Amino acid sequence: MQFNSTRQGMAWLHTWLGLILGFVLMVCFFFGALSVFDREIDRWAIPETRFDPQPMPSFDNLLMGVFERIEPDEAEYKRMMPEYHDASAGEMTPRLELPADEYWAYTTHRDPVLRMGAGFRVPFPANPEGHNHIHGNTTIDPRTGLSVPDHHLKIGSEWFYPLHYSLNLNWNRIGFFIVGIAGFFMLVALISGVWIHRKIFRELFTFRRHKSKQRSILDMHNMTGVVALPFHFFFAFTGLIIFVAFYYMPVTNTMLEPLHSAQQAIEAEEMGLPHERAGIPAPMASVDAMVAEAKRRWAARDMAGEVGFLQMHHVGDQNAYVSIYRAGSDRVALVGEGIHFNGVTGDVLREDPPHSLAESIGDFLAGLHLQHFEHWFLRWLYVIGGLLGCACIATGFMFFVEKRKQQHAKAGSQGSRIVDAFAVTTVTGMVIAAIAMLIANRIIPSATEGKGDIEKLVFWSVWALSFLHAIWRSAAVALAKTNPAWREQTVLIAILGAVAVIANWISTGDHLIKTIFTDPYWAVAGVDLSLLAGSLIALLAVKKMTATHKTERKQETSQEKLATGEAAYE
Amino acid sequence: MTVIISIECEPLSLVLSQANRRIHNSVVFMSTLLSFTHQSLGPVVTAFLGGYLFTWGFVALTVTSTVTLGWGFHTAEHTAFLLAFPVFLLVFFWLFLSRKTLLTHAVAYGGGVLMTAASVWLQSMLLAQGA
Repeated sequence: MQFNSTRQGMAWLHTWLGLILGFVLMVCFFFGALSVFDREIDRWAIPETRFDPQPMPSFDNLLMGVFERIEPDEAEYKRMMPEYHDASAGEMTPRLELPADEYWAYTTHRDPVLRMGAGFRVPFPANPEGHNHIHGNTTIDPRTGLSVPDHHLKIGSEWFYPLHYSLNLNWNRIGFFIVGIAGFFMLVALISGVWIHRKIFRELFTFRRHKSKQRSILDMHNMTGVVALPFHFFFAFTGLIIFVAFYYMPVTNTMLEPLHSAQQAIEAEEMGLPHERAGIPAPMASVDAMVAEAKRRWAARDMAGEVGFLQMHHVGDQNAYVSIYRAGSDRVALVGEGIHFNGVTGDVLREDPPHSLAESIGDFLAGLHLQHFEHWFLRWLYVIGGLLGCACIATGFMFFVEKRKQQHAKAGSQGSRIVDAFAVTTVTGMVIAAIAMLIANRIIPSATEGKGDIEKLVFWSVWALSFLHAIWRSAAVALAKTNPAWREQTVLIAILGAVAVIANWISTGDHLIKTIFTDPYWAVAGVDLSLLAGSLIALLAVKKMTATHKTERKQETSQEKLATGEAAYE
Repeated sequence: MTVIISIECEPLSLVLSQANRRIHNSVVFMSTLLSFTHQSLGPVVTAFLGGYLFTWGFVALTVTSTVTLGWGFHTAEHTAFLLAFPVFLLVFFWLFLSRKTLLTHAVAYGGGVLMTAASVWLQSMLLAQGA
């Protein structure tokens, strides 16, 4: 395509790619912002887990018993077992008889509950070199060792969080790729946006709310884009970096896999960690003693010493070893300073050396995105940055429509109308779907089988309904007017936000006076307050939209009168 | 009777004209969409694929050449992936905005293929040496 100037080409890229992929980016930014407090949303959604964050409990006295109770996942067994198993070598092992090969447990400074899992070996594997594991996971109350029921969906960490990087479209990982392409074009849109708006510093302080609607929207788009420009850029960039090697450009896991495997074998030999099982059964040493030794070594290096991730390899075998990693609460970079122990003798096998410069930069970028650190103010800045991204994209949609709707109305084109309906669905519809899911979570009784699946269904159904509503009410845009769906759905947000808070109060007894003053529990109070803040902002927006609507109606009426007068005069 | 027919016919003609207008609008919309997809998104897609292929080759060659120079595999891998998106963006913009479309695309696609081939050759050399 030929453009008269680079600036014109950049403007084209910014407008059209921003529009097409903005709908995906809106989902990434909104649910990414919610993911900053995913564990807190989990607490809100599963009242049984509303207690204080706990350190990693005793492995010997509590975790070992839980690990032994974990079963291989039934669906994964059915799906993967025929692929992993070599039928000509021997009979397929029944699911509950698969031997455990690996245990892991993971927690953060924000987790009251503990996530645990086991990897089960497949006897007679088709590919003995492969990672032939059938997995089983559980979440427990670390104070008692009791499991949190499986049908309780962790709405924050298992629904909103994956939604922002995979859209929860898991067929052939299509969601990952859509988000990856959108992330790349986010960078393109940012660079082209900076290129076309040369007076960036001035944009920071420009918001002419009394000018025309189109001008105000453009000012808002520029301001929200510029004020958080570094945030938008590093989030898109680091998000891409996290998945690039696995999904987006798997050079080293496909084409260069032979070299990768050969190098890994050399590295494993250098590290002194057994790559394979010895095939000789052996009893395990005390893991609690290993944890104490790891903490002593971290303390000697003046590091915060809580365990974040613990993994036991080759369980019950002479080659067993235990890897213990530090919780990442005191720094940005995602490094665990792992210490590895012989699982049978309890001796230290190895301490991870400092990473190379390139690896350290990678750790820092991944840590910057995943924010495992303990810094509440910074976490809130992340939320604000994410919401500014949403505001930037939403005003981009609105500007697109405002700029074209008069022209489209005259030409009889439906372009603005369709874009506007999609914008309503992605901006207000998405928020309604998220709050509706939270309300469903509080209304559906805790014991209901498949509760999580019903909540997911509510989410998608409400979002689809918001689209139908936006389309149904969009005729006004074809006449160069504002789609009333914007106002109607915003009213709904204002109502639903308050309903969710009340539903939480009625179903659990945790009202705001209790969670803030009498028995403080900030995870739940924070979610409630955020819902109410959302309601309040929606109310203010409705007030503003109603005023604008009235002004438009007045102008229309006076124009009609003028036209009637002119017709009568003629 | 005549009155009744005229009452019945007027809305019908209105409905028909509205239907015609809708069909016309839909046809205009679809043709605009098709032309937009073909003429405008086509160059974006070719620039994206060219950028991707070039970056694939760049990553592969960076990893294999630095491992040949004695770097650890994971250091080489991290370095290559840190540089991947800046390279991808540069090549994408270059291809999309260039006036000499054929030449730039030939350089990017050809460069990507050549670097990929070179990295495969380097890998086989490294494996033969027992790397």
